[in-house]
Amino acid sequence: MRRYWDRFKWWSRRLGRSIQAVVITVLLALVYVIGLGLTRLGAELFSRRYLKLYSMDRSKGSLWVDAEGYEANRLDRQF
Amino acid sequence: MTILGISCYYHDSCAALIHDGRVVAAAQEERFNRDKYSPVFPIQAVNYCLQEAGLTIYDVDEITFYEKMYLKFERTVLSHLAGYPFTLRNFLDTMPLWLKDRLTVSATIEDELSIKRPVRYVKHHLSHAASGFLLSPFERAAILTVDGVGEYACAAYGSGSGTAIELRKEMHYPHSLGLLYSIVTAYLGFRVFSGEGKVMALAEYGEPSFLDEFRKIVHARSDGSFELDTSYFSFNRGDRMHNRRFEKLFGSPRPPGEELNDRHRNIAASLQRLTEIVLIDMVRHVARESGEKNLCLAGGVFLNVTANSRIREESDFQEIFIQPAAGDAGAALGAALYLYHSVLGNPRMPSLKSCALGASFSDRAIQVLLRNRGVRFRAMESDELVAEAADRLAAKQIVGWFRGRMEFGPRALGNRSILAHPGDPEMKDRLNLIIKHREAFRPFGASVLREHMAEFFEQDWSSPFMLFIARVHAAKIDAIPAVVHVNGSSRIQTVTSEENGIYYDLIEAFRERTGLPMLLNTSFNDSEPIVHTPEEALRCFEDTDMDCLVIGGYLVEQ
Ligand SMILES: [Fe+2]
Repeated sequence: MRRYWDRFKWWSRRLGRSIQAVVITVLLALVYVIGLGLTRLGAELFSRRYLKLYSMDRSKGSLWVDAEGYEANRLDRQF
Repeated sequence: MTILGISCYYHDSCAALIHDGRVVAAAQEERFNRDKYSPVFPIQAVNYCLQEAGLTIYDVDEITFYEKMYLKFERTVLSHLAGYPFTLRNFLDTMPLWLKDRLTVSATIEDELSIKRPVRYVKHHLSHAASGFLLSPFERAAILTVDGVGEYACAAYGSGSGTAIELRKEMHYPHSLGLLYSIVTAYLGFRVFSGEGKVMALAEYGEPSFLDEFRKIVHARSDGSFELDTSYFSFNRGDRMHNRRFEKLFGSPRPPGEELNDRHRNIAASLQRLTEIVLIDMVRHVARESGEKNLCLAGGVFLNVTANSRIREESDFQEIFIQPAAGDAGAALGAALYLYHSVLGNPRMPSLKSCALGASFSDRAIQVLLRNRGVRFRAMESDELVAEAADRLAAKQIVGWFRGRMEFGPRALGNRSILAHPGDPEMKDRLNLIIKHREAFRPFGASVLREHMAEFFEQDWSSPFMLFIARVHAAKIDAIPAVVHVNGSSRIQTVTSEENGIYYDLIEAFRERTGLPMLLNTSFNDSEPIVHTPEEALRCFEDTDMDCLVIGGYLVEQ
């Protein structure tokens, strides 16, 4: 009897985990498709600078930019 | 004052502890959980560091983390925004990691360590810079850091003076030398993080015939900055970072395990040459801008020993210091050092002479293990042990050498090493095939007595952490074939009695017997992380064809 109970617990735990993974994946997909999609649309319309991470500028003389955010009084922040 | 530094979640997670004005301990989590380049929270490494200092977690005053996760997350979101809608798969793969660990790092630290302490977040390249400069022997120096990517920065430079560090300029993602090296490493069929060294070794067998092709995707400026042509890459779009356009230029990628051909070798050679050219331009620019005489380097790119050596020879700097754990493991230590010195103003500690910052085991513990396992062994005094090991090495036996504290960083430097005769022409193949089970084209390093270096090599400088190569005198190549790479150079560690007394004595005893002031030195492992405990050393010894094992004060034979 105990063996069946253990097996039941193992299977239900596994099932629970699978359902959890599917729910998280679906939610994340929605966040991506809708959330990021709308953000992208907003950026396309109002502020293209948010889309420039991979853009290039061959006319730039140097790619070195001023180093920022290294002040010691910002150590308690994650940004 | 006790400060705990932590790095984790990408690769090579690590903990480091500063206590009573010195670095008490530093170790990578992979050595404990036996998962190579383990990215998980380094709880075992933290526990070890505390144990080494005789402290508990409640004695820790401050905790530092080696980067700012929110900034990194911002870059990730911008990357998906730019790649929308083609990055969905990558988004689904990585977001759970962000939500579970990375964005909640302060809560994770609290949970894992069971204490509430404010965490100080030091930016990634500042952590690298601090790890390079604050342990260097220089009162003031220029600093250059180059890696894959931190938050946004992929390279940064500035200078250090006393306990102060100022980073002045940086270069941003995706224009990254480390990233390019990793992309090509994957393209050539090797694993990212572990395969870069293989590409560097492979490069010596090829010709840089693809340099023009690389110049099409890396638009370099004369100041060492450069722009990656992003149209050759597909960031966050699946398993591969290169795209079809890249394949048009270089041909199809090499599936892992497929035979290497001249095209692969030439691509590796071209990538290596380009890396060196860009780095030398960067270093020259930093020299001009800083006006300093000495240079500190940090970041994973400076594990590239071939490039380091060209920098050393071709730059205008008088002295160069590279911290032994130049990659992200070292950044855990760097973040703690930055807080300790640069923020809290504590005076500098003596420069780092030895990287033996890991665990050691008493002879008593080792003896109990050997007895429990029914292993036959002989107890010996240090001088007897040295003489016996030197005899065996001179007789071309392969010796496992496990003594003292484990090394910090990717190299074994005479405490967790497999040692062999550098003059045996068959030794390279024997070691590669029988013990290390690795690619035949990878060379072995040498541990050389510092004062005898010039007898065998064209260079005469210190390289205590095996981060440079030296050219072997043409007339001496045949004397040490097992440690000479195809280009006539050797990756070398210079050894002094001050840094590692018994290891020095062993090489000296070997010199008396053979006339060679060096030993072939490779890390004590067989494709797993370097051995950490006596149990692991014994298991590796039993599983391979090493002839004998020196473990603490004991000699074990097969
Ligand atoms: Fe890094």
